[in-house]
Amino acid sequence: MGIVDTRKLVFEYIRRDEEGNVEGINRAVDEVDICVEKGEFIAVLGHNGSGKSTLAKHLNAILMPTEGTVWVGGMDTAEEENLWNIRQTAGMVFQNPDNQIIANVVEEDVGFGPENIGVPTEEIWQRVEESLKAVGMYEYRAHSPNRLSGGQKQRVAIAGIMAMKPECIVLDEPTAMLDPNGRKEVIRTIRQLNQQENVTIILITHYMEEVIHADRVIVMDGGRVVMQGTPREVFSQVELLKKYRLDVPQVTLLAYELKKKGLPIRDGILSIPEFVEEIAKL
Amino acid sequence: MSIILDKVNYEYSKGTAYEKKALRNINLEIRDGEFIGLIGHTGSGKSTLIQHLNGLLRATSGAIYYNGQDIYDEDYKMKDLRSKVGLVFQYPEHQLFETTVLRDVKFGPSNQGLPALEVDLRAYEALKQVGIGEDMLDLSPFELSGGQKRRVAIAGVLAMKPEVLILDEPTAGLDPKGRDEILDQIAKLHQENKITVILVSHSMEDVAKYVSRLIVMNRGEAVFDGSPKKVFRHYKELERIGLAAPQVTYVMNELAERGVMVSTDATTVEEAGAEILQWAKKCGII
Repeated sequence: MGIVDTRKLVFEYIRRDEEGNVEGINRAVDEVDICVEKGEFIAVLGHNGSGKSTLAKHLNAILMPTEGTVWVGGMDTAEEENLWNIRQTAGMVFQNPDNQIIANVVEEDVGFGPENIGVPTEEIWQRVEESLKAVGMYEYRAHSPNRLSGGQKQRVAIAGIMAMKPECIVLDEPTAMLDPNGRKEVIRTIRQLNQQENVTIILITHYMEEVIHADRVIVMDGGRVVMQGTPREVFSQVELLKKYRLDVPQVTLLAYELKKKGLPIRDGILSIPEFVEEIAKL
Repeated sequence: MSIILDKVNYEYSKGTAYEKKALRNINLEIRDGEFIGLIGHTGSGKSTLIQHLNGLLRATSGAIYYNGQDIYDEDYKMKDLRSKVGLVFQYPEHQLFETTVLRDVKFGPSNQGLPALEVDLRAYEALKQVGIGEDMLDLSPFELSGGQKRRVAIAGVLAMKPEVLILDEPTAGLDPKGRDEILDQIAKLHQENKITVILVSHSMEDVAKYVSRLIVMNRGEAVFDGSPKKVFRHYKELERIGLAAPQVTYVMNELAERGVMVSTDATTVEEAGAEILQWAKKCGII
């Protein structure tokens, strides 16, 4: 069993009219089976409304399955006594950094989580220090979060999760509101946590360039998992991705278009160095 | 006709400890029918600049002329300016509030005091322009998808028939297809209705594909102003101020460095592809 497992996970919500009569049922997640091993870096892609955020919200028990089961660290999320342990095992980072920061000083914000679960004061400060160092924000510990850039705020939000010592972090479009620099900072931080601290990462995003370092990419459409594989495998299927309202990185598209026009280059090119290498070989 | 900014400066909280120069000596002419991209990292002054263009913020010093008239003249009607320069804020769907899509779009023009029939016509037209079908007019805006909501919000501004349309990151948070749909519709509006469009964006790929002129802001100054090709030639300077060039620009530069004889000017996938194919043909590879 992995750190996160879902078995035939279904989530439905009921639409009602003004009188409260049932108008219809939306199946946002439809029989999803995924298994995430400890230490993996998983990226989840899918268009708006494909069910990826709904899936993510099941991974730390914000939502409960309508049918099927979700296990986080071996714990069934449907059992209420597991709730606190599940949320400590799988932390969540959301899109808007301003909605996630509550304190007036960076280090207090990061300390809020561990304090809430009753960690002794000494250890809180130790965790705050470690987490802020892990995301590269230690020198800002005494700053007001107000004066930070979007990328910095998002890293503080990630430090707040790290201070809970989770085994897994689920990030729901953490870079959607950031400028290019902020995006780079956050993605670099996520990769470092994955590689150095062995934290399992589940990254939901619309930016294809952020996905190329993942161990595995999961593509969702209509609540189902429709593609799964390494970034190279998934991005080799340009037409199929377009059908799912997605995209590929510019360099991948360029290589694909050139190959169609007859240039002998290989499939699934993901990075600029790879592309340059292929062309220089010709 | 045009918008002219003459030595515009803007300072926040002047005379307090938080005093900050948000705009420094901005001189710009925005001509009729241009499609302009405005880029810069967070806090560079982009949003402050666009809020000057429809009078939401008043310059600390300097002048702004709209079609030759000084907008800071005592008898200048700011209200007219605001209906001529339409501003679509970030996440505009957060501003939807009416009970139906149609009513929400009608809110702006009815506030302008137009006759009911005119308001209706404009609302229908605006919704059609953004690709919202008639079957959705009576739905609650909150039943729509993210991309649809955003298009309804844009229609609300279009229904005021602006001469200039300013959009602050209209594609933030949308999936790739939704992003292309919105930008294609904006490009179509620009072409068919000849309105001036100013697009604030964090996506270098998007501005490279759509705009004909790119203005780069840094620390309250307009540091570059020119065609995307010209501006992206300075990609190393852009990186120093927290920006970048489209991925294909890097590809072409690295190829050139490796001795592949291609021009480094490409800023879109199509241009890069054409350039590499030409090189391949010249070398007899295909």
